Amino acid sequence: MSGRSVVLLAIQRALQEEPNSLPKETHTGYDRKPQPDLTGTDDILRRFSERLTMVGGETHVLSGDEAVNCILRELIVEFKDQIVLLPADPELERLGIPRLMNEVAVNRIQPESSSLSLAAEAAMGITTAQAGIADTGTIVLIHSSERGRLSALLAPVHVALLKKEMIFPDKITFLAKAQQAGLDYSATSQTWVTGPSLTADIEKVLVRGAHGPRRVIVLIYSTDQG
Amino acid sequence: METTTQTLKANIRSALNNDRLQAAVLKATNHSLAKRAEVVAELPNWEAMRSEAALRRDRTLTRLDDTLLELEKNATAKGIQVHWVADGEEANQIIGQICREAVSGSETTSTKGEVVKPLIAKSKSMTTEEIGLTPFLESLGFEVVETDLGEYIVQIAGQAPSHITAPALHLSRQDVGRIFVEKLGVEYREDPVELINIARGILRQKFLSAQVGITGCNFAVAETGTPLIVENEGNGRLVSAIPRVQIAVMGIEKVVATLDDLMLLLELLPRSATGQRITGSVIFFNRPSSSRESDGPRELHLVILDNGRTKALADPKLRAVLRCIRCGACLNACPIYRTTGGHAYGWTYPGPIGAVLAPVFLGLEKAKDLPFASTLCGRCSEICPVKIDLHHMLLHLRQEIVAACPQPILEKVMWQTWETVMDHPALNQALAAIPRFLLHEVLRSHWSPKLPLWGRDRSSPNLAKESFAQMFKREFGEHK
Repeated sequence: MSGRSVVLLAIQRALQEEPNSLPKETHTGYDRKPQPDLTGTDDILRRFSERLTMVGGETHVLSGDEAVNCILRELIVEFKDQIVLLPADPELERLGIPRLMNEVAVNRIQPESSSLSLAAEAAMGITTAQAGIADTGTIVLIHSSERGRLSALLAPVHVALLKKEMIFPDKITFLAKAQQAGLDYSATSQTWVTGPSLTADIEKVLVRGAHGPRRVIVLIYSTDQG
Repeated sequence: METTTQTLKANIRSALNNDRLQAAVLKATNHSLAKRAEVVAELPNWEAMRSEAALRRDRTLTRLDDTLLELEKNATAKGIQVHWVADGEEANQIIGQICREAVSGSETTSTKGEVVKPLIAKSKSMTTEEIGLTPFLESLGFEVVETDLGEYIVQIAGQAPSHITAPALHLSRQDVGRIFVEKLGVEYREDPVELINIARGILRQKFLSAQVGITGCNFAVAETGTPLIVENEGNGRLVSAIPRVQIAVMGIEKVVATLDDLMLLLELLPRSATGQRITGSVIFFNRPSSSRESDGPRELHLVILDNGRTKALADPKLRAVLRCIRCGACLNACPIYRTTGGHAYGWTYPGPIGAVLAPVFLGLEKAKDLPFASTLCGRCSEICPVKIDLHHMLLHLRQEIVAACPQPILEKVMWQTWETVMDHPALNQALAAIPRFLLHEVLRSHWSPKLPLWGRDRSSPNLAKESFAQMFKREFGEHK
């Protein structure tokens, strides 16, 4: 008999022996009242920033592509002559970030087409984030061939670009509206990232920057395209 | 880890003689409890959330077979390879086989001609500890590296994790400093930041050359076919990003029916475990990477393990233990755990949850002392985010153990005598006269100070002339 049938049979036997241990009273007092939809509003944006800052992340709120370029230039200049990871993400292309990087003379690398050991030397990684969750200051990274995992992971500094209208108040709203917003939730692997990587494994002393980034900078922008 | 549940008393004695251990455990558990209290206080409906989570977990358990089949169907449809295993031995065999296939044909000699063992990187998983996966894979010739920093520290020290969510909680910074000197040959230092930098540097190289990644699975969502993990260090992200083969190992109870259930549990787990609103990362393994993706696992395996869990499922008094989401809050709250630390329990899962799981997983005989290592104070049940009635389960297990396992003759005779006496009021009253007489005539007499130890420092109470039974009889007549 295969492991599958053995396990299933054991479960079914156990359930027959003790079919229903549910309490009769099923009202737990837990209800989620429908919340007004505040997705993308300034209130939600403030909450997102506040929560992300609390866990050691940084945010900048920007209006228009030009502002994104400006602040990125400032950030990238610090990494002149160093390796910066940039995936082949069309949105990054649209914002003109590859060109900007050439101007600033950082060593731009696409982790998708370079060696792992070289990518691991990077000082910074720039990616887009597909959504934000305000309640926890979380960014949602949905992985695809154009948006690999490594650009947000290998370098000590991760800069994530997040569209303002994609910040949802909480996890539940995100799930309810992800599909509608064009994010295919269940078909792609994804990572929810909240602030820099951290550990408290030695005497519960909080150390930010464990195996992942030490700094997470989220640039929240509204696009010129409306 | 080597199971030493049968030497519980000796384990406890050694923990009680270790001041450093006790200080470290107390400091860490206090810290976790304080952080938890802060983020729990933010949610006015915390209690309702606990009840709801308990109910939803129970609902899933009552149709566990269907829920797991739904998980399998949806995961398989996306290319995840699902393996069902009855016990740890089977799990190890299957995982070993996947690892062998993953590394076959790859280079195994270094430039100097030395044989290089194929490398497996693991992120934290108590389930793989439970089945002894690491020693098994090592016996097959793999190098297996634990990448969670706490887990890495205990691995190089040759120890087992002492806490479900904080494996190195029993070690002070000085302990870690000494372990690094001895095992890694580095200079002694005790600053946590420096120590973590050393470990990070070593582990980064391991991540880059790992051929297989093994993770646990905090939950697996049936309706979408999605296993997922929560973690903080980024090691889970690396383990599921770099190796082209990934294996996630879950107990059958880790399945949740819907994303909505998951969202509720994601509120409860990090708050209870580490006092966070959410962990640094939540990683959803929705499917293997496509050929166009340059990272992530091309092959994604999900191992679904029973290993004794169905025994709890069949027991009406114990089924609810399978609600457990392994947050470790009951450990932090338990006065026994806080005094002895986790190793004293002698098994993978310490604390109240471990004392319930051990007799179920290992059998009553093997873990017969563990349910007695509790004060039954109930703090574990009060703090549990999914309302497992742990202390009543411990009491229930004590009854089972007394019925099933041979007890010392003297103890048996004592309890039987007690039972007989309590069953017969006349006998009870007659016998009660004896200690009354002794108390009056011996302890309170001039003999008292001469009694060794007891009498020297104590005065005995001044008893009333009449017993309660005598007074009752005088006031109300014979009891009918």
